[in-house]
Amino acid sequence: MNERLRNAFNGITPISCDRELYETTLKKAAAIREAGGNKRPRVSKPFAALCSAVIVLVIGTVSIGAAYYRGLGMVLSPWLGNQDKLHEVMSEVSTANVKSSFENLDINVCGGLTDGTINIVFLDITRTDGGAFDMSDQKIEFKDGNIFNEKCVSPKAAFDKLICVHEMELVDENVYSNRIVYAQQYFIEDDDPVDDKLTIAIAWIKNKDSHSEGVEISVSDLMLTKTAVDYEYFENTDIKSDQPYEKFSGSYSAAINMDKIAAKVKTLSTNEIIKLNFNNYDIADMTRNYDIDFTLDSISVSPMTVSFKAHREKIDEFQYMTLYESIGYVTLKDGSSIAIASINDKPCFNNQTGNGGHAVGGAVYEAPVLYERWNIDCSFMLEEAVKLDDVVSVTIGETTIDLADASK
Amino acid sequence: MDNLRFGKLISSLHGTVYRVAYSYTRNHADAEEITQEAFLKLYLCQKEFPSDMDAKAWLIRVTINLSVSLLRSGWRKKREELPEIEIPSPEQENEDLRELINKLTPEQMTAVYLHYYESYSLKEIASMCGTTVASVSMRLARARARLKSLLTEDEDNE
Repeated sequence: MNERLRNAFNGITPISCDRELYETTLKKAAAIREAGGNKRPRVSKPFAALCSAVIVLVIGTVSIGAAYYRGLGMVLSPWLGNQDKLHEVMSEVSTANVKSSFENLDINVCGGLTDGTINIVFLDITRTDGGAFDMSDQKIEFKDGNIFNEKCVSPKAAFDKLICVHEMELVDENVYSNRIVYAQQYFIEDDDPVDDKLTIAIAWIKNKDSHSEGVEISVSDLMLTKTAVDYEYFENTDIKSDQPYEKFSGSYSAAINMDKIAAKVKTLSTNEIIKLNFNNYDIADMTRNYDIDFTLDSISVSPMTVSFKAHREKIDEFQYMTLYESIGYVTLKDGSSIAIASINDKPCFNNQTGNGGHAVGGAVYEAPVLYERWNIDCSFMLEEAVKLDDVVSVTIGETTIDLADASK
Repeated sequence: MDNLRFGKLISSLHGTVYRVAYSYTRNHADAEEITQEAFLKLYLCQKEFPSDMDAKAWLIRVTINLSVSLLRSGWRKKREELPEIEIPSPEQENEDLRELINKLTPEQMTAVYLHYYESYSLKEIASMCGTTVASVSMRLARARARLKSLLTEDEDNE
């Protein structure tokens, strides 16, 4: 397949030749310099100006058991909880600390949810001066000095965690309401221990000139799944690095289900041995594949998410690994299969702190490290929305769990 | 950037930049325009590239940004497309697969091209596309699934 793909792409060739391109470029460059320097019309200010895009998140309504939120006219989900707390949180997000530090960016709070302990605030982020969406180099800088983009910490001013939903991630930009939105998740990187009292902001990002109508979501379909990595402390035996290790815990992802699917969960226990394949990343970006046996402790399936816990006693080689790509699939009643895909680029377990398993300080961990027990606690999103009732089995690695049998 | 080095970069990267642009625009004229613009930016930029690989990664990123800008421009949405000039291909099989590849989304096609043709890692592709490794992984998974499904359909229809 790779060879065929290469050959297919070989057929996409430029119309002009290299020489033409070279000469045309030089002519244009000369003309620009003659006209007054190397100035190109810019629609945005330099990097510091940031070109985040518009996030339009229109909260859908839930008709059953809901209450109105004053001021915004939002209908809250079964998450009725502490509205005062939510109001307070939303007020914090709307403060000048968030909005005024940035000239070309407009941030508005367009809704929120709370269950009393976990607060979710929906942000509408608009780039006001046009231009292409590009978060790779751009930063949103907040008054308290916190900076965020995809690679940086989330702003601590008002919320603990920022989840950005990018328009570009969607398959069909004209059909938002029927698509699952993949939320990028960010780990909390401050020093405070993570507890259940979190404020999470979900931001929809797109360009100001996008023709998208925005997104309607059903509040009742908003789910939070905890994808915590729980692993044992260990001593650093790598003589190349003196980085400290910390127990990693407490990251949350939010899945926004565009379809109105009831959030039911089936939880099963099993002692099946599952073989999982891992990619091994080191600082030089060399990948190696490992097949490792784990004992499957439990597996649960809900619309859009498959979660499982597994463990392995005493692994004797480890750098840091990413459980990658498709790890399995669910089989539906009609016989079709839907893949389970990773929803984040963070490893399920690693030997480093914080930021996504990248080598801290650039060290390459080559020394073998012994563990007593290696736990996995992972959740993955399904690539397409499914109804739980239609799922008949789940396959993780090489193990298939028949939901009908297991639930008896 | 000196002209000699620039010329060499054109020789080695013209096709790459063009294919990335085409992945988004699916139109030879637009792809040419974006390619031209990208190389012009390279020539005029003040950036020092330690290696040609760095220049390549930078160029690809710029090309993606330019492509996205063009796709989103109001002008492009309003204009009417002229019929594409068919460039005959000597190998029907490659052309067939190319047609299928054209059915991928721009993001998927770009990810497939950068990964399978240019042999970039997922991390490198994520950096160039301004997204995360998970997104790139997802795009590739979906692209593979889509191609597989289209290929199967094709075989069934034969």
